[in-house]
Amino acid sequence: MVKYVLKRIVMGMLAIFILASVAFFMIHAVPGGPFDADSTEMSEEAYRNLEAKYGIDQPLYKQYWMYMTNLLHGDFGESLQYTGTSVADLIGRGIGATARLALCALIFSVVVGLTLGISASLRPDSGLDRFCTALSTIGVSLPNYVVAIILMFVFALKLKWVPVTGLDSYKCYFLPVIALSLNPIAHLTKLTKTSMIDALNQDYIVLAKAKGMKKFRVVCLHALKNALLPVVTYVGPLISSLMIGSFVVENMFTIPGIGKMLATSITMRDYTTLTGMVIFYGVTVIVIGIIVDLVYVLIDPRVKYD
Amino acid sequence: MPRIQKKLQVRDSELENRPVIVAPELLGKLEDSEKDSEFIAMEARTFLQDAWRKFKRNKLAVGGGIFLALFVLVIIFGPMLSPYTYDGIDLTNMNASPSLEHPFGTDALGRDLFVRVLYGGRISLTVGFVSALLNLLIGTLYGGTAGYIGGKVDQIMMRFVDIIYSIPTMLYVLLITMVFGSSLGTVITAIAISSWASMARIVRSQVLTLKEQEFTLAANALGASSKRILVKYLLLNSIGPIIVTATLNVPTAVFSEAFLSFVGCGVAIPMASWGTLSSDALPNVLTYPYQLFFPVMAICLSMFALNFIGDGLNSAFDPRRNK
Repeated sequence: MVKYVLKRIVMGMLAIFILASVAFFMIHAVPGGPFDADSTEMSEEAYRNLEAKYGIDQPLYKQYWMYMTNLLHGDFGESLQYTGTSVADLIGRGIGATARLALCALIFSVVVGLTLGISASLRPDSGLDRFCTALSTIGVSLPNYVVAIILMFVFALKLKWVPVTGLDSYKCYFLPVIALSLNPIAHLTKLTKTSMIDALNQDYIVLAKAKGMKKFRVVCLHALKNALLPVVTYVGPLISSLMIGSFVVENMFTIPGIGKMLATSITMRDYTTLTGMVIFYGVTVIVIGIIVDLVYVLIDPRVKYD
Repeated sequence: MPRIQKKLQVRDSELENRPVIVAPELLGKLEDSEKDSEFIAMEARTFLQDAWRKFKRNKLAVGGGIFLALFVLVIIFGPMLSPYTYDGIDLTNMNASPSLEHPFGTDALGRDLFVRVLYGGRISLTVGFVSALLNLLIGTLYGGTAGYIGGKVDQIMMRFVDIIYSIPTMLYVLLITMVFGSSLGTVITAIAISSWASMARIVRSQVLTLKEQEFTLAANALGASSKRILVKYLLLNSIGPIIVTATLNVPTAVFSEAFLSFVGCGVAIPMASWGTLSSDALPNVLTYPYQLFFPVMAICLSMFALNFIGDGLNSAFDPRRNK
């Protein structure tokens, strides 16, 4: 077990290392230096000073070493767009909104997805089952910005039930959370349904029923407990999908989170912020992935540690 | 001659004890064509024929296929029939509503939206199909090699896949398109080289089980080369999961491209994919909702069609659903 945990952590660190290296070399593959545009009005000396300040005059391997050691200290460099503000500060400012939104969407999609999946598995071919199938088809076929647009158009602009942008009151959460969760709900419903149907066909369910157990007990204790195991593996991809989705949704609803900043850094060609945020996203997803894997091993004794 | 023969046999003793009641019209001579009817036989079908039969029975999947084929035809030939071009600016006719002249209306620069949506389809679907094809090539070769060689090489190759897999695809794609500029080629390459990990995993697990089977041993004993075994015996036999994964990769790639265009990293102007068209129309959605409606509908309909085809193929190729 300890060996498995260590192995997983080492793999995660390797992944982060590779992502950071890719980010570093990508940025350095861009032709031209960051101060080239200003250099016409700049004296040779000022240009040299600027290069020295940001360490650009150093050879590439030294810059790489510097970048990596800085990363280890949580220093993602300075934003090119807001001079004097570190990327870490920007992330700190945006993380609250993104985390709150992602957490709400996570809870919402798990609750709705599980409920729909379980109910559909109990009554195959009923109206509810068909509704769930339709929902999962629509959920995987609609890009989340389309969902966001439709929701915004109907509920915020036409019906005026909720505010269009911002994240000031609890009302603001409804639309972004639904837009974020539709795709995960589609996957979760489908996954829960199939694994519940599998579990309900097992011999121990027949035994439990034969012993005269109440249906509720059979479904919730015997079937669900076993059906949930494959669903847990989806949590990793779920988190990653919520993070990437937050990117679009935050822009649509003008929510001041990391996703919004990332998009701004793309339009402003702010490379340091972009790489910093990309690495931050990657690290978050990888760490959550490791935690999910470990939890999975803990709750399912059948999983081998290999 | 039919391949499976089974004679209907009745024991003589049973016949003797039974009163014979036969309608007289049945006692006539058999026609030549009827003489074989006591042999119960079914024509042998290949794996692909079997899958095709099952796929044909799935109405949604067939509908999706027909729709997509028509859609592709319209996308290819539609712009040739229209008098407008995708970048023809007409400032006297800005933001026109849908009419006979402009079926989808015009945008803020007076460009015909019908033609633009069709051109967008060319870009979006090209991105989808080409990157799914590249993905298939890379993933199949990588996973096949890892699974076939096995041992230490497999371990190392698959650890690398694990690492790639653990980071969201979109992050690589963003970095690549940011740095190398956002042309059609870079977008396709970026999506393809960052999304083959799951294909490699699927192919590897297929190859791992197939190479333990007797036919591989037989091929080996007969002296077939490694390349022949890998391609003809192992990869060709795992064609089902490969086709299914590749089909479902097309909508994912179209999705990724739409996402990229939406955040401003997609294929550069004046061409516009569906993602670009919808993000362009977004600021004026209240005044000109139709500018958003048509590209979004195009995305949704093709997504539905592709997903239906993928699901249909999935159940057609799944041996557990043999009915």
